[in-house]
Formats: sequence, structure tokens, C-alpha cells
Amino acid sequence: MAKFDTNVQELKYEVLREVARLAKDDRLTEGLLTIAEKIIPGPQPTMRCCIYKERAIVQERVQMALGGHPEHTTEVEVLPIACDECPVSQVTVSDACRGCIAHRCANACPKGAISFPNHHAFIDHSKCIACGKCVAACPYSAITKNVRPCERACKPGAIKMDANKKAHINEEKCVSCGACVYQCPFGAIVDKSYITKVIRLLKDAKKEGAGPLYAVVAPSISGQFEGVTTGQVVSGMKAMGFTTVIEAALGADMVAYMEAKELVEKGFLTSSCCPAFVTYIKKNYPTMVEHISHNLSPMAMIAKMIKKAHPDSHVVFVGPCVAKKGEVKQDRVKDLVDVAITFEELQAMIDAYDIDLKSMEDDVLNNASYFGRIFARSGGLKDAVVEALKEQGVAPEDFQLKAISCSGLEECKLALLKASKGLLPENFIEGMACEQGCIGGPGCLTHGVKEKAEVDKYGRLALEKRIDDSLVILDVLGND
Amino acid sequence: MVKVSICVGSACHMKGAYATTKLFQDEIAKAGLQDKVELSASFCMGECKDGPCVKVDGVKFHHVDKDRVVSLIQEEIIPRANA
Repeated sequence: MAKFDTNVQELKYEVLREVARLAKDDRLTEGLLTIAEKIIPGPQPTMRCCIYKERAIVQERVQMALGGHPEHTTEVEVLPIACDECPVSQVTVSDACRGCIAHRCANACPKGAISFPNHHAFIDHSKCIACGKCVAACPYSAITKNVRPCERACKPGAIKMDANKKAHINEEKCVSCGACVYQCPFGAIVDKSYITKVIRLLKDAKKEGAGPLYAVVAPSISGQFEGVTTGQVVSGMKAMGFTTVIEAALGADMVAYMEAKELVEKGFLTSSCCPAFVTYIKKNYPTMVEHISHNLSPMAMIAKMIKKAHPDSHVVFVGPCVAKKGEVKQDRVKDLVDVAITFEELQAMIDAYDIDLKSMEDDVLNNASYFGRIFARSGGLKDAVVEALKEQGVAPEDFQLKAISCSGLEECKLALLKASKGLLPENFIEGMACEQGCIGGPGCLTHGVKEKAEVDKYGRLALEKRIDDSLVILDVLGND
Repeated sequence: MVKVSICVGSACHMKGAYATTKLFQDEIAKAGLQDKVELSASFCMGECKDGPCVKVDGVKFHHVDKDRVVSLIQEEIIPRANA
């Protein structure tokens, strides 16, 4: 049984696994309506008021496992029935209020919303603007500001409640980073899944004369599958029907090499690896768009190489990322990568195919250098660009790199705001929408504190210690 | 044109496919065959246990580590290039 951080992830996993199992056995049409009852057998509810609501939620999740609703342009959707309508009066006074006489809270309030009936602070919510000044002022920490977890997670500010107090996603603002999916404690926001497309590709690959089916795996895979080696996961994926598995990190080596060149040429650049970061710039800082690196992402870069070597192949990306699901639909990428799925979804598929990873042979996954692999964590891309500049012999007097690594959209926002006003001292922004970088991605099975160490350890296992060592094959692949 | 494809997938890479690639490039240049030999890469030839694998005009060769490159060029590639 896989290890997850939360029960919400486990519920998502169960739905995905059942959908995958039916799709694999070509029983999707007749089995679709049986999933809810299978996962919620009853008679007692375990999560909600009754099993009928639980089953209705599962049914909605099945819809998401089948690709969601195409009329929504984002990769995440709210399941209104699953939204628990978290309290909306954001600033509240608790029993810890001592009814003191200093009244720092009231003095701090810019709107005069606090009064003291019965010597106890009272907030008039028709006046309160939830600025939080009283929260900071109270010496007893008696006032708390409750923000809905989804709203707090959503750094682009795309989530607000609707007239029915349900969470609502503003698609104009949403960057499909998926933070809300992982953070909503009720599992009311879900990422669209395209596993049935992958299962179709796996079936097609078995047909006579079919082209190869490649899986491109993100370096954040290290440490994701507990109790088994990455090599065993590779064997498992081959047993499912993938021709072979290739590291996206080799694409990252290429990106580092080209990004360094582009940076020297242009003098200022933001990274383009993280699709949610790129979308965030496009939606919020249109004047900065011209400064986004023209490189493809590591995923798209390696897929381009694969398609060049094997024009009849298909490529499936597996990573921690929800935004990648949208990236593969972009004009520039759609002919390179067929589908993107998450580690959560891979786990569900492995179990649907009845593959026992522990009994699998320890295969190898080794295409990239140390630097390509550490892209998985915040600061890794910067380190790789430093290395690429060194390898390319760029002298400090010709170009001096001053990089800022932004971990999470909040840090990205700050750097972009400064840069857009010409106030950023740095000349390279490494932007990662998820905190910690990709290892903090919403599609990860687990988010442990040791993930960064795992990535570095995995990086050191690379055969190639320099970027240009692993780019030897670039010449024969022919890059343009 | 002689078509030479080198597998650079994980298993072949672990057995030295990158060194093989580098040596192929150098040796082909040394023999002055750049215009007659087209080098390309493959991500899997399906014979991971016997890597590095190399295909010369569709014919597969196994265990092409860097010691084998020179003889392969002599025996298989030069005759084809001159044919």
C-alpha cells in the first residue's frame, strides 16, 4: 500500500486506481457507476454526513479522473458538493480574550469595528476588512484570522467564495499550480487526470508495428516511492508496457546549457522550466514576458530529442506537477509530449496493473548529470546555470551572474514586482511556483523534510558530474 | 550514406554509451568520413542487457564499448562508406 500524506490523497488514489483498472480491462463503460459503491461500501459513513454524499463525491472524482470538464480551461476544478463551506467571518475573538483595559485591538482597528460589550472584544463583521491589525496587536493572541485553506494556498488570488459560500476558481487568474488541491482539507479541489489516455497509449504500444512508448520521469521521483528503489519503479513501468524510461533531467542539462548562453546574450532572464511560473508572469506581468527564457522546459526539451530520434514514438511525462498537464496542451509542446501525469497517478496505475514493485528487478535510470537532477529542488536551476557558465568559460568580467531563487509563487511575485519596476538587483530569476521547487509539487505522494537531501543524494549518483559530459549526445541528436 | 545509431538509454549509458558516442564522433572525423556517415541516437533498442548497442544501416551490434568502436569502424563502416 502506498504511503500518502493525507486521507484526501488516499481517496483520490483509490478512485484513480479503480478507473485505471476498468480502463485497462476495457470495462470502463459498464463499470463506471460501480466505483462509488466499491469505494464507499457503507453502511456507516466515514468522512461525511452520509454514504450517499460520500458516493456522490466519489462520482464527481471519477469525472475528474476521466479528464474533468473541458469547459473549464484550468487543470484544477472545484467539486462544489465536496466543498464544506469553511467559515467566512475571517477575524474572530476567542475565549482567550481577557477583556483588558488597554484595548490595543480597538486602537489598532482602522475601521472602528471592535467594541466591548460585557468587557469582551466584539468584532462587527459588517465593518471588518480582515486586515489583521488587531490580530497582531492583542497581547493574549486572543484574536485569530481564519483564511480558507484554499484561499491561503492560492497565491495568484484566483479562489474566492461564490454566492453559495462554495469555493470558486477565477480561471483568468488561476495558473493551475495545484497548491489548492493539496491544501484543501476536504479534498474539494481536484486536478484533472488523463490516465485513461496513458492506458490507451499502453494498449496501442502493444499492437503490431506500433512505435515505442517512452516515459519521461522528473528527478523529484527520488524518495517518492517508499521501500523500493527508483530502478524497481522503472522495471514496474516497463512491465506496464512502456518501452523504456528516460530522465527529464537530461532535458534539464540541455536547458541549463542553453539558459546560460541566452542569459549572457540578453543580460536579464527569468527561467521557463516551471509552467505555473510562466503562466503567472503572462497573467500578471505582461511587460516581463519578453524576459522569459525562450527555452522549452526540460520535459519538452527531452521529448523533442526523443521525437527526433524516434519520430513514431509517444511520450508520457510523469512528475509532481499539475501545471504540466496544461503545458502539454500548448502549441509548442503538444506535438512533443502526449500526456502528463503525476506520481500519485503513476502509483494508482501501478496498482491497477497489479505490479508489485518490491518484487521487481532493480533496473537503471541514468541519463543525466548531477546538475540536471538537482533541478527538482529550489536553487538547483541556479546552481546548474552557474556550472554551465563555468563550463562555457564565461569570464566573470564578461558576465557576472546574480541569481535569485524563488521558492513558491509568493517569492516569485516579489521578485517579478521589483524586476518590472527595474528595482531588482539580480539578473536571473529562477521561478518555481511550488515551495521548495518541484519536490513540493502537489502531485507528489509525500512531502517530507528530507526530500531535498534525497534529491541531492540522487544527483550525486549520476555518472556525469559535469553538464557538458551528458550533452555529448546532443551533437548526435542534433539540436537547433 | 551509412546510418549509425547509438543507443544512449540508461542501460547502455551505464555501460559507456556516452564514451562510445564521443569516440565515434572523433574517429569518424579522423577518418574523414563526416560526409559519408550519419550519426544519430536512440533511446532504446530493446537489448538493454547487451549494451552499448549500435545499429549500422539497421544491423545491430552489441557490447560496443570504446574498445570496440575502432574495429567496428574498420570492419563495418568504412567498407560500407566506400561501397
